[in-house]
Order: sequence, then C-alpha cells, then structure tokens
Amino acid sequence: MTLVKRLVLVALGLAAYPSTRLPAQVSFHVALGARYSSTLVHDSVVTPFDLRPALAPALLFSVRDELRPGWSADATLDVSPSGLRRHEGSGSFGAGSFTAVAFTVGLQRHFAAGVSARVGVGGMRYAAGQTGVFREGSGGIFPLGTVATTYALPLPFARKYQLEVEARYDIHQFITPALRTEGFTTSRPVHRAAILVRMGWGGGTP
Amino acid sequence: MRRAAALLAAIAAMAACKDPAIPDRAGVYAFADTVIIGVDTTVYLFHWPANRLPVRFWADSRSNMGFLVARAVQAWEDQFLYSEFRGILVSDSTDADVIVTWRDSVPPDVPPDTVPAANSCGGGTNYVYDTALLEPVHVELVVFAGVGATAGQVQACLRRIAIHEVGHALGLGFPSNRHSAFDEDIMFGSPIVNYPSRFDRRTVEVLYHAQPTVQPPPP
Repeated sequence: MTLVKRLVLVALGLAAYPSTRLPAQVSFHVALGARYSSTLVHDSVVTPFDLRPALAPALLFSVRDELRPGWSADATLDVSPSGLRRHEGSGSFGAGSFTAVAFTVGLQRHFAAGVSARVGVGGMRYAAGQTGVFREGSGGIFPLGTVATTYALPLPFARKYQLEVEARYDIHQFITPALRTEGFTTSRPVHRAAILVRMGWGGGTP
Repeated sequence: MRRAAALLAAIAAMAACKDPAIPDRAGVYAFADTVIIGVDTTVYLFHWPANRLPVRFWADSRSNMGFLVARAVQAWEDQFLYSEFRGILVSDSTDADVIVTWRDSVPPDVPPDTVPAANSCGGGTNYVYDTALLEPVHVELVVFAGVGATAGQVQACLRRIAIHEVGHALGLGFPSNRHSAFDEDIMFGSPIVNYPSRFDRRTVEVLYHAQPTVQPPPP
C-alpha cells in the first residue's frame, strides 16, 4: 500500500470515529476545494520554461481541539493530486503527475462574526512515479508553513453541519535529487493557495 | 499568541528565499547537420514534438528485439527531466512511427556477457524526408558474422547499439547520423559505453527544446 493510501485511510478512520466517544471539545472536519500552485522549477534549455502543477483538487481531514475559549489547535492531513505541466513559449505540455501530501499542526483563533485565522507548520511529501524531476526520488519531506482564514456561514443549515469557507495559503521549498543531479544547487519556494468548503462534526460550534 | 507569531515569522522567512540559479549545460556535442557558413544555408533538425508523443515503436518479433527496443526507449526517457520524450511499443507496424528490424541473421536470446564485448554488432537508422518525414523511421540492428564473438558478447553489444540507434530515431545526428566525437558518449560512432552519458543527456535536452526544421510524418 502506498504512503498516500495509508495516510488517507488513517485520516478517514479518524474522521469516521464516533464523536460521542470523544471529549466534547474535539471536532472533526473534512474540506474539499481547488488549489493553485506556483512554479516548481524554472529552467532554461534554449528557451526559458516553467514546470508547474495544474489547478488541482484539495482534500483535507482535520481533528480540532478547543484549547480555551476563542482558541483551538488542530492536526490536518492535506492531500492534493495534480498533473504537472511544462509551460514554455510554444505552449503548455503534460509532464507527469504527483500527489502532494502534507501534514500540519496549527493554532486557530476564532474572532467574532464567524471569522477565524489559522497558522500552522508541518511537512509535505510528493508521491510520484520515478520519472522526470522525480526519477531519483521525491526529495523527502519538505518543511511547510501555512496560514488560513475561515468564515463560518451564518445559516441554520450551515451551522448544523459546521460549514465553513476557507482560504488557505502554504509555502515550502522544493528540490529533488534529479534536479540536484542536473545542477540545481538550491531549492525553490513554492506557494500554494486553495479555496475550500469545510464540513465538521463533533465539538462545539466555534 | 507568541507561538502564532513565531510560526508566522518562520513562514515569512521561507517565503523570502530567492529563486535558484539555472544550471550551466555546457558540453553539448553536434546533434544535427549544422550550417556551414558560406557553403550551406540549410539546417536539418528533427525531433518528435510534444503533440506526437508517445512515439510509437514497432519491434521485430524475432528473438529479443522487443526487449532491446523497450530498454533503449526507457534509457532515453530517463534522460529527460520534463517528459519531453516518451515512447511506447506497438504491435502493428502500420501504426508505428519507428520500425526496428533485424538485418540478415537473428541472434539467440541469451544473457549478455559481462566481460568486454567484441565489436560484434552494428546498426543503421534511415529517414526519408524533405520538409517532413515521409514515412516511418527505419532502424536495423545487425550481427557481424566472422568476428568470433560469443552469443553473450553479441547480446551485450546489441544492448548498446539499440540505445544508440534509438538515439538517432529521436533525432540525434539527423539526417546523416552524425556522432559524438567522444567515446564516453553512447552516440559515439562505435559506442563502448552501456548507457547515455551526461553529455548525451544535455545534448538530447537541447535538441528537444530547439526549433525543428523537419516535421514528423502525418499520424
């Protein structure tokens, strides 16, 4: 079983665990949305070009614990399968695919009017076949920093399912062994932004 | 609050890192018939464009030609960082972009010898073209008779030659099958190495980002 499948199964197991058997302040959340990622590699062979993930789905599983009124901590598993595209002057071409898997822990501050902000850190791994920039491996686990802001929809239906809209940003440094072999000596900051709809159960309403 | 501020500071520090430098790719050998100033104004340059990938290879069904071609295609795919080339084997030669056959005798399929192999095999790659290829690329592998090589030495030789000839089928040395002048390269005239070198890699990378003057045949 691949790492990605294992992590997804763990997350699904956590999310499916009956909330009645856990302390009241613990809640579970699943979020689904779309993610944009900045360039992974900027290179030039005859002409310059970029290697960039395509717009991709993002699926997040979180366990959140209320620390004290207005504050909570969470652990989040973030899975995002994506195609890779090579963008150059003459067009855009497929260049393989990967699944980005990130695990973060974060602190969340709940403000008035259903708005909250989160900051977190963790690690991220690219799961990919051994081709292209991943042909000598994925580069291991990259440290990741993330910030997010969430808005809880003020509707009865939304409150029942703890529906929230979330804007999430994260950053990590990217380089792979194949890129080092090619002559790249330093990693590149990769920015990712996602818009998500989050649903939760258990715990108290934030 | 202090913890949140520290996390934010760490994220800001990560974002402040500058872009990495693009590596130097010096060391490319001549991969096409280039302009000879004052003599020739034509550059014949061919590679398989992205919209024609994967390139379809048909391998002679006799002996282990399928294995040799698949191994050679994989060896070249492994040279590319950005999926500029991909190849597949097809079962019908009428669907093929590249046809690989035996010339004359067919060698037995035995394990390759591990000792240095005699120069016991060769190959050829032929294109029919004007501004486009007019028919599939034809590649032949040939076993040299009378050199006293064992069947295992012939197989070791064929592994190298298959990579070399598939390199020509990718466009390296098009159209007159120019070669690298250096014997550490698989595209050396009589290859003695078993795998593409870093100069082969750099050369094929440059070829696949150069503007071709000869187009592939119609699909």
